[in-house]
Amino acid sequence: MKHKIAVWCLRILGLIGLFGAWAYATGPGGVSPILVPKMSVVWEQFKLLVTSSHTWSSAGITAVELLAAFAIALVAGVVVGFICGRTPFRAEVAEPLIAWGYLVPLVLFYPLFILWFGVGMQSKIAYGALSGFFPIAFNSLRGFRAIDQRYLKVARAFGASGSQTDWQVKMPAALPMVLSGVRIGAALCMITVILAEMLASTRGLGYELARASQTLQVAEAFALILILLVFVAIVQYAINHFGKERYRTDA
Amino acid sequence: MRQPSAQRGAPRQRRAHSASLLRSAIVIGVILLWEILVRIGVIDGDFLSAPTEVVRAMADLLGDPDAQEAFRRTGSSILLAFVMGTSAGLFVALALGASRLLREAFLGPIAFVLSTPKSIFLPIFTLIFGLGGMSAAAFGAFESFFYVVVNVIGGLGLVEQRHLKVADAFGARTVHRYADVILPAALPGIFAAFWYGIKHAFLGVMIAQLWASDGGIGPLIRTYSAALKTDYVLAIVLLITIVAVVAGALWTRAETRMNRWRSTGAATVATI
Amino acid sequence: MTMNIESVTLTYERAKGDPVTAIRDIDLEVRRGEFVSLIGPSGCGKSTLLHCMGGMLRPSSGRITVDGEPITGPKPSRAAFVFQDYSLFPWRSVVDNAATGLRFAGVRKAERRAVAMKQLELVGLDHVAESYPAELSGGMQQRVAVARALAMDPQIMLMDEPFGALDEQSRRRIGIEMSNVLTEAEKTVVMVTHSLDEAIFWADRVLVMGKGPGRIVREFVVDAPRPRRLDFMTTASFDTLRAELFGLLEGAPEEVVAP
Ligand SMILES: Nc1ncnc2c1ncn2[C@@H]1O[C@H](COP(=O)(O)OP(=O)(O)O)[C@@H](O)[C@H]1O
Ligand SMILES: [Mg+2]
Repeated sequence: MKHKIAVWCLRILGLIGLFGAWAYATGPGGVSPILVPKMSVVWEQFKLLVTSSHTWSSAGITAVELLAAFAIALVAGVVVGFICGRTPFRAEVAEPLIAWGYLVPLVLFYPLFILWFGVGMQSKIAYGALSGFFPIAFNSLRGFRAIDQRYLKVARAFGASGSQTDWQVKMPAALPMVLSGVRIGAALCMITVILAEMLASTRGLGYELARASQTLQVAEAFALILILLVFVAIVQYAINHFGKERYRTDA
Repeated sequence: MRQPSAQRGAPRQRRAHSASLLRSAIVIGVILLWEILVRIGVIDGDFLSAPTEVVRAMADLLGDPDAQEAFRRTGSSILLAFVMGTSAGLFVALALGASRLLREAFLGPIAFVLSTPKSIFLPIFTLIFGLGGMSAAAFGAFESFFYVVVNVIGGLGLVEQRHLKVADAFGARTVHRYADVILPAALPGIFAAFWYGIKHAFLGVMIAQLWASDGGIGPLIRTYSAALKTDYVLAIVLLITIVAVVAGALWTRAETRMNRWRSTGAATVATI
Repeated sequence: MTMNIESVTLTYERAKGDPVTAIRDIDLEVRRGEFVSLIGPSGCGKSTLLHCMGGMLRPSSGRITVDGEPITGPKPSRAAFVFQDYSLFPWRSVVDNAATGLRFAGVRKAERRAVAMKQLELVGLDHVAESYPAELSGGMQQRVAVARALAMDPQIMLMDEPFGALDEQSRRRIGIEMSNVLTEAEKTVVMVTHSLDEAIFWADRVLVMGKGPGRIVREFVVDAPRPRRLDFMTTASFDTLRAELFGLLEGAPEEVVAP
């Protein structure tokens, strides 16, 4: 109990330090308000933005892009992982390929995505889907190839058909591993979709932030950062909450 | 105990061999297909240049002083970002590693920032540091900092109490505790910290330069893609990709070697 | 060498909850070359007592001396441990593991490896000297742990359920092997065990500990020369002792628990 209190005291101290530095920077003798806006102004902006329907529709756009990208990455990743993990030979062929794909610095490809898909939602969805795909495919492949032979032996011994083995043995056996890939993939989808919106787009929360910052609406930019943090926290919560495995198989 | 793996060794090696053959065939096949599709006009060359053109553009770029200057500027930003991010990260990680209270207070918030798209803080960096190389370096350091902290702490978490107990029972002095137990046990985490430190210093600098910068590879890519010089964009991107993939593959190999003693065979799992 | 334990009590202070007195007023003398086994219900303080003997824990009261000299901290050349979970360093080869204590003591590499190799030969593992612990079976790992302790040439070996993690068969086989090794090396040994057979077969003296708080409730002398052959387990005197121990530990628990 005492320990908990100390932990929270330290956290509050950290926050005070952060906001103290901010207050000092915007106070007399600090930097110009063009660079760092006053806290009160940011707060006003925040309230304004939260009550504006435009902000909500921007958040909706971002959410739709994120969901679409994630759905594509999820289906493609699990299917590819499953197909490639079916035989040791396929796994051996595919694993390095997927691992290399995972090492590719996708950020650099974004200008090409704009070229291919335009500045609209499609480029964000395609880009997010691609970056989410690799970790999901990689971990799924790992999960499916590393299924404990004992489970398969039991399935055979008790007369499971091919599809029964796939759905009732392989899937659940690989699930913890697949889910860990899915969590990473979802987080990557979110990171890339927001980045893509910031780099080039016409709508969405990331776009709003880029616009505010480039037109030197500094207070609005800060308020949008806060809004994005809330957005991210919600997505993170969803990822951790829904993506949790209830058992381990230690593949 | 070693017999079975030796017996299984031969076919496994053969399989690995034919797998790498097939893999090379796939890669070459894709490149060939790509070339053909562009040549016969199924793919518009303005959108996706043929591999041969990309290679020519690569050669062009390597001889172009402007491009060399851009690579040099980006390279030095990455180095600066790595040094700043890693040293700050190591410092904070050791402080958190030493105190359970600090760890419980701040590891959670650090892990949260780690999982956010750090790009949302880009405007702040541009405001404070402007458009120069320092801005990109600072953002790269910011990106890598969190990865270094989390990985080093993760490494310290691998240190087992029972091994420290053995060390004590066998007369280890403090230096032995660190050199013979804590460091070897935490090494995978420390190693990972350096890898992710450099990786995210690199990515951070790239992101910052694509966002807003007055020089370096980012603006170069933006200029070429605005001018529809797709072959040059692809050349830059593929050049860097090859470097990144080779570095990553080497790292994975080194990591596996280093963890030879681990019973789990160092099952690499995708992480961010 | 004689180890004297004089009315030793140890109380664990805990961050949460009341302090626990694990052992109280233990008096014991361990003489040179003697093999003592400690047996008793789980949680009665066997490990605690052993850790006190090795200087890993400091008694709350009472004192422990070796040849009159008080124990203040761990010192492997005086008392070397063999832990239940082996606890080999997985990042070191077998021979380097066996040489761990010598390395800490500052012995040069060539020399300490030579010593370690000799101990590995003794426990029959010189052929895997360059392997890593993960490549070894549990029984082999435990033999490495014994070699690691022997390499310190300690005055006394402290073994905490050394074969507890092994299956019955390897346990007996390795047990007999190690018992011979230790007897031939004329080591003084205190061993904690859960197995009645082990406690009797190995030891010159069996100490039975009781719970709440831990203390020594009975002492048996096993009057047969060591090293013993396996058929010692089929003799009448072994049977009688075993039956008596069994009755004490399983049959009449109140006798063990009551003060
Ligand atoms: N580090 C510790 N902190 C608090 N209590 C402990 C600690 N270690 C052991 N104990 C308690 O001391 C008693 C004796 O433990 P131990 O010596 O491990 O028993 P044994 O080895 O005979 O099973 C037990 O009740 C145990 O819960
Ligand atoms: Mg114990």
